Amino acid sequence: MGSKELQSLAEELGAQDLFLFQVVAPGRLVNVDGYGRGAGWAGNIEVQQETEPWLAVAMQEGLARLTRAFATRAFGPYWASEAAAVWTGDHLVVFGGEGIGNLDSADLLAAARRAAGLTAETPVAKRLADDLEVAQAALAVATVSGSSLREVAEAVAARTAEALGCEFGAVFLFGSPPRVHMVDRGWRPAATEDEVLTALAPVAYSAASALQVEQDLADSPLAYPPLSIGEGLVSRCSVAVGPNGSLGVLSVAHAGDRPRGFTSLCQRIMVSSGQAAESVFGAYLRGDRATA
Amino acid sequence: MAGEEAKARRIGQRLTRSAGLTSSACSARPMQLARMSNGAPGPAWAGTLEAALHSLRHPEAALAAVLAATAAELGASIAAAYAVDAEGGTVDFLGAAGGEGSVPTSRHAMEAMSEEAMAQLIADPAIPVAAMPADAPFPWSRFAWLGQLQATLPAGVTLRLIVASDRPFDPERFRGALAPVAAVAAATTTSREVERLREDIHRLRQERTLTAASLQHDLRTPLTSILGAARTLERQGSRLSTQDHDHLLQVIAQQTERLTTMVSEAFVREIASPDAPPRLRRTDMRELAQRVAGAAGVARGGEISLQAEDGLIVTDPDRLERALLNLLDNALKYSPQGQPVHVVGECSGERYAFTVVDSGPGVSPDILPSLFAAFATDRSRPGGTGLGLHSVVRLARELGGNVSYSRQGGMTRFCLVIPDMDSVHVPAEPAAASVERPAR
Repeated sequence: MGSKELQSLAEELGAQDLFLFQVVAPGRLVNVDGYGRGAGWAGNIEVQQETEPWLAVAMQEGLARLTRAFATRAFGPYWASEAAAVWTGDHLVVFGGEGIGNLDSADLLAAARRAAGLTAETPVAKRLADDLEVAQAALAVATVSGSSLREVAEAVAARTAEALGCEFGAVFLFGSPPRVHMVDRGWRPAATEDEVLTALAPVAYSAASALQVEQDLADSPLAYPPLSIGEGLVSRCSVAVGPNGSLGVLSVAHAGDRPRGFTSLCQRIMVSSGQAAESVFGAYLRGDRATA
Repeated sequence: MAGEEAKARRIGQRLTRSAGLTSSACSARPMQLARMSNGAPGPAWAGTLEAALHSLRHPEAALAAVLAATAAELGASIAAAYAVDAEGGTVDFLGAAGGEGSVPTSRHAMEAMSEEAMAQLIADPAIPVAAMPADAPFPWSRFAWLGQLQATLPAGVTLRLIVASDRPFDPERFRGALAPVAAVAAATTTSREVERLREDIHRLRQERTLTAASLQHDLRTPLTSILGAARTLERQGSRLSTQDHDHLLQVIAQQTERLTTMVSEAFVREIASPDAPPRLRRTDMRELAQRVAGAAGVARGGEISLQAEDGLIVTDPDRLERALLNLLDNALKYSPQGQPVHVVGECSGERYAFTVVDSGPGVSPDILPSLFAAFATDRSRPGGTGLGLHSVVRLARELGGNVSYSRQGGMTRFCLVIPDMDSVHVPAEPAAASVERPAR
């Protein structure tokens, strides 16, 4: 395990984040260790070379730089305004943080080689902690109760958004008529409920049995105002609720203040929250019918 | 059930009204809406339509919601809407939605649908749902069944609603979906049209500003010459030689004549005909260069060394004078005091080239890429409007010529090359300006 060494390496370079990727299959890489976000997300980012153009450039040319005036998606869930990705021949090392985009190529390559030499597997403790996080998130949703569907739906959205550190959460529920309930954890659309429902409808109707991850809403064909990048959201994760999504969809999103996407841990949390939400809504609806 | 049917009817009536639909295919919408889902629309579908109707502030989102609800209601994979302008031969992708990741994976192909590809999909317009044609383009070829309906939107554009599925779906329910999609699509096309008009207005405003600013810039140079000559006559009239006196009077007469021509030309260009052709005359290039050098010297002050070969070229002398005067004025402005500006005129058969050379600081590398663009000014050299060189390029282009910039041996060179329009075919849009980057 090279976390301490990776930390000092990142600090020497002035990097706020360091990701150490290992090739697990041709064209498939997993972030096994790192520093900053790279440590927090260790074991939870799996990327494909063919769907990550910036990393693909690094793997073909040895080095890729990102230097923008504002944060943009670099790969997977990682957003940064400055970053550099270095391919050492068997590892891919990504450095992120202010000033990284202008560092000397030789310095970056030397640091990447040192980082690659510290490769270790993601620690078992980290994996267990991740599993615990998934279970806790599901439990938080499963224990939601309320006296109205709105109260229940808002609590489900709030607890899911909280577990994932999201600024916005919403539940779209099919019914007569369909409804949308949302929570503001730092971001709220300047729109009516009908407008939010309309914007979520393409996701709700297409999420029949799937988890939908939109790591960059600017590239998503399902992102419409008032839930689009133009209004301040950067990424979104949605999961169908109920058999074949028959109840609706649970959706959470990150806002532009702290731009980032969803790791595979986030996605696991989302799936388990969706399953827990199904039982919560099912119980509520059964109780509702029994009362009626 | 009766309540839902009545609600569906109300929604249908509102949709039909809001769309302003003209197609007879849409005239019985409320009843067809009511027939959706074997007699009544699905409650989620109707509710989504209702919400979409309240969301026309975001027409593309509203259309996507209606398409998504429609695809789900029919049990189909994708529903897409296109606006086809048969007259203009254009196919405008309006939106698509569907289930199971169908849209994200094929959106680009759907957006790129051409009129020809669209035609391949139509087997028989009278049959709304049929087996997918064997030669259907991607992404439609991925599915076994195809549904197609069309309606006429306001402004004569045809809406084409395409639905694809792995299993057959009810044509009547499909027909029932047309009105709501058309209603929201009408809002989408109207919104796009408004956006296009807004862009047109913005562009026209920019052009108007540029024209006004260019005219002001062009008028300023001869006015300065006239003012300079008049002031010299006023202050030193008695001390001037007869030759100098006559020269200054000549400058005033020539520049006044130019002003008159420019004003009437601007009027013709802006009001009568924006594409006024050059007024071609066989022109003595040396005489023209002397005239311009005289006017520039009087206007700006400074020494001009002129070496111009003889050459008779068919061109528009007014435009050429304005172009050369702008170059000379620029050179005099930035040339250090006491350093002459050189004007060299060379005739090479069917072309005449003027090279204006000064020993000023040259152009900042930052501005080189946009040197000839309107309002491109060098911050290190205040006082420029950024229109002089742009005007030179525009005039050179109108004369079929070009302008280039280079910096060699500490000297700044602008070269204006004009063809003899009697013998040269002038391309419609020649590359009129170029910058030769100094060697690093």
